[in-house]
Amino acid sequence: MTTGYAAAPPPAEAIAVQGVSCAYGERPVFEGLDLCLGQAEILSLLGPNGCGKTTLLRCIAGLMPVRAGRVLLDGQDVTTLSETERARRMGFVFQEHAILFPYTVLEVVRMGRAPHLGLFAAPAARDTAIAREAIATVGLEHLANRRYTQISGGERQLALIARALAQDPRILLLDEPTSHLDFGNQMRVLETVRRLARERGISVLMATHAPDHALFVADRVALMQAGRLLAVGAPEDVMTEDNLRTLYRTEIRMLTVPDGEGRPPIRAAVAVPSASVAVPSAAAANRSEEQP
Amino acid sequence: MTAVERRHGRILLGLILAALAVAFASLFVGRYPITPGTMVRVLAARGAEMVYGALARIQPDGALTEFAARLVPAATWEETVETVVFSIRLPRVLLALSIGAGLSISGAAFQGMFQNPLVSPDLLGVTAGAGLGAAIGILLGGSTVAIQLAALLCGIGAVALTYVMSRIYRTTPTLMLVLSGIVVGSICNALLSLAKYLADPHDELPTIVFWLMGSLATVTRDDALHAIPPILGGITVLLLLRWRINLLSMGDDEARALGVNPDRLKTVLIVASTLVTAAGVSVSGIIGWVGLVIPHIGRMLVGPDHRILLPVSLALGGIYLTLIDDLARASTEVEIPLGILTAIVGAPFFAYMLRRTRGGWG
Repeated sequence: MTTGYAAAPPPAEAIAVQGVSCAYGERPVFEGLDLCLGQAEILSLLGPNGCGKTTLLRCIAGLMPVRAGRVLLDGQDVTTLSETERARRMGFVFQEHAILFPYTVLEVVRMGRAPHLGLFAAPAARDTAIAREAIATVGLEHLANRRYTQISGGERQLALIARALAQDPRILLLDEPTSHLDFGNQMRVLETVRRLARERGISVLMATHAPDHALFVADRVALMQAGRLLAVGAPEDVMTEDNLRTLYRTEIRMLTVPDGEGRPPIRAAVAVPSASVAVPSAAAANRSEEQP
Repeated sequence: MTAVERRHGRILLGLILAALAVAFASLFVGRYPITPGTMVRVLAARGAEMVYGALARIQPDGALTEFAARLVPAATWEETVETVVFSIRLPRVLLALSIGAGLSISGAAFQGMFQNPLVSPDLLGVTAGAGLGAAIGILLGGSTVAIQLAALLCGIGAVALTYVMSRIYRTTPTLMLVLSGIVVGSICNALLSLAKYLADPHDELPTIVFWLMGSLATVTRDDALHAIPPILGGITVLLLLRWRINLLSMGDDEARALGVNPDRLKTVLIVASTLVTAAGVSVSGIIGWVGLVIPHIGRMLVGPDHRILLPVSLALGGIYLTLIDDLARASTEVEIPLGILTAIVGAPFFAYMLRRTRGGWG
């Protein structure tokens, strides 16, 4: 992307989270959190279940009010933007997703055109063309007229990414986009995300609980634990065995596997079975002791 | 436009033509016989008169006005024909058409925005409120217009109360709306029972009971003139916003992420649907099942996209209630109340449909 030639270059940060605190009722999820997403960067928010990843994404998307601090989108406070303005800049790919009415894939993706349409307008031919292009980008052309409720989970996830793309955003927020998918579909979704960031210069913030997914796509990784950021930086720097052990409270080894000539080796995280795991009852006893 | 969309367009066109045909045919239902030729001439004459009247006001001696004057044919029919057509049958057919259309499009909008195919326009208490209002009007010995006005205002008031109540708890607005609707509906029904209990059993009570059964047997030209404009107004708003109901049907968070303020959009849709339903019910009394069943038939024909579903439900609902009203006035010596017929016809049909779709909402 040649953003450098634009008349008014955007700030270096697509998203800046500054001292943000958030809570459900009295229970704080995180306090005074700082995080930046660079332009055209893939930042992976990595952490165990319940550490606050989804809540942080929802705060950034303006779906949840923040108690303190602020979130800047291209330098503008997100709370000063209308829903429409937010949706033009930022697409959100949800994790949990129950859909009742069996819309076709094309109809679902076309909904992404909403922020570009007037209040009384419905998608026109041009919007349909943009939606079709988005569907082609994620490789679902053959399913455009199929019912969204009748395609597989992986295809649905790709369709949701296509819908976010139809918004024509500069920023994509993805909440566990691979959580219910099989191995092949996980990789297809992740490769699509990586391609979008590289080819279109879209900035991506992706929450995931799987270290390998962060290693696969991320330029930088933010390790999140119980509402705090443990470390933020390049995957090779922050995804150490020590850090991951702290994060997941289990023994982990980092492996480096060669990937043919002229290509960088592949890194992967592997959980190591501890001695106690071999005996299920002992493992259960161990876990119950660990609970505070 | 895709091939599917073209097919849906043709279905909609067919339904609109069918609605017009059914409406025209319904003008012949009744004891006083009118030949089709006379009917066409009577309607054309009235139309030409209205054009002439309008032109005469704008341009009293223009060439167009003179031309229009020549188009008005001399009456070759008895005066009774005009009375039957313009004071009795036409208002009734137009009311059946627009109330059926209004209940159906409101039902389709509600099912979409509440993400629940089992809700009907009375979800938020509009019919319960209207029933209570009518009963109060009858108890106070009001005129027909007063009773209608009481029904309209109480119907709208009930929904307003539901809405305000749901705002007190801001956490889950949609769920709170539905629960508040149940609360308000129950209160209205309890008060309605009280009104029935207090009513004079020889005179007021039967009037209340018949009102609640729903009927268009006694409607007049004035009823049509009062009820149809607000119904059309509400329908227009729903039609303008219809594509956005798709976004609401994905849930509040997704709608917000797609650039929609769900609370604001829902409020507008609720106001429009309530106006349509309350205006219709205030004239006809309570007519159930139409708003629930018709959108399902619409979805079977054209799928769930509200852009096409709303106009299709509109046409289908108009056809359905007009036919049911024909049945009500033609089948037996004494008119059967509409609410009874819509339930007898609608409920088994709904059961049959559930079997066909196997509970899916396609």
